[in-house]
Amino acid sequence: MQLNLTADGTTLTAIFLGELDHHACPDARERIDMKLNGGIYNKLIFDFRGLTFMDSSAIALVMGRYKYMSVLNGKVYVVTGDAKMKKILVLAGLDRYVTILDN
Amino acid sequence: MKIINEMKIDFLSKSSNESFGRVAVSAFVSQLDPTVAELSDIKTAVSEAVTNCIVHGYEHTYGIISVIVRIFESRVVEISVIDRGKGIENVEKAMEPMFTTGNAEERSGMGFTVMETFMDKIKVISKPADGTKVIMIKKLCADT
Repeated sequence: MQLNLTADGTTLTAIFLGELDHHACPDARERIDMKLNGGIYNKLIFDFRGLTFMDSSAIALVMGRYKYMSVLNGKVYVVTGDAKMKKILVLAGLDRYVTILDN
Repeated sequence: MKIINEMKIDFLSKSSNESFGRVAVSAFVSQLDPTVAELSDIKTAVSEAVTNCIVHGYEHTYGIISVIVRIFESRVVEISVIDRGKGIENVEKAMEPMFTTGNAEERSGMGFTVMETFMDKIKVISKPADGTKVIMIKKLCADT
């Protein structure tokens, strides 16, 4: 998995490429958290469009960051063009907490 | 039902083997010419089962995970994922959505739900201190 983090004002975008599974999560979690802790962000975007594989590990990754962001009234967005990835996220009711976008 | 083909792999419960497990199964199933969606469903379900062995079965210690794939006639695929780890006290409870004994940062409690959603049938056999066997079945669409 490859993760590119870009900050634009108070928006942090995490662009994922490759496969996001349980093995890849700790690294992604650490890098995003380090960035969040180092700045002031009210918008966090998970861009999953470049993923070729995703399993339920992504739910815990997004949910954990949502908890962090909600303390500061921040918003979390997930962008995924893939219907199946969206299904996994919705299965866990993630759409009640974060905004899931198709594009 | 008649078995047409079968394979078995054993690998160490390292998280770096999660991708190996799902890719190996998908490579074996590929002989049936499944659709991209079917292959993706299988990979996701195998990934969940293998991750459960690593996180819960062996609790991040090293043990052997066995994966057996059987292809039956009429395009039925049966995948068994087996660990000889700590086992599950209450299988029914473990299978409830959002239930996890793991760290919330690591697991969402959705593993079994995802397996049930993407496969046709799933059966979990477990005994504390003995290990867990997850059997998943999927019937592939007719070959075109």
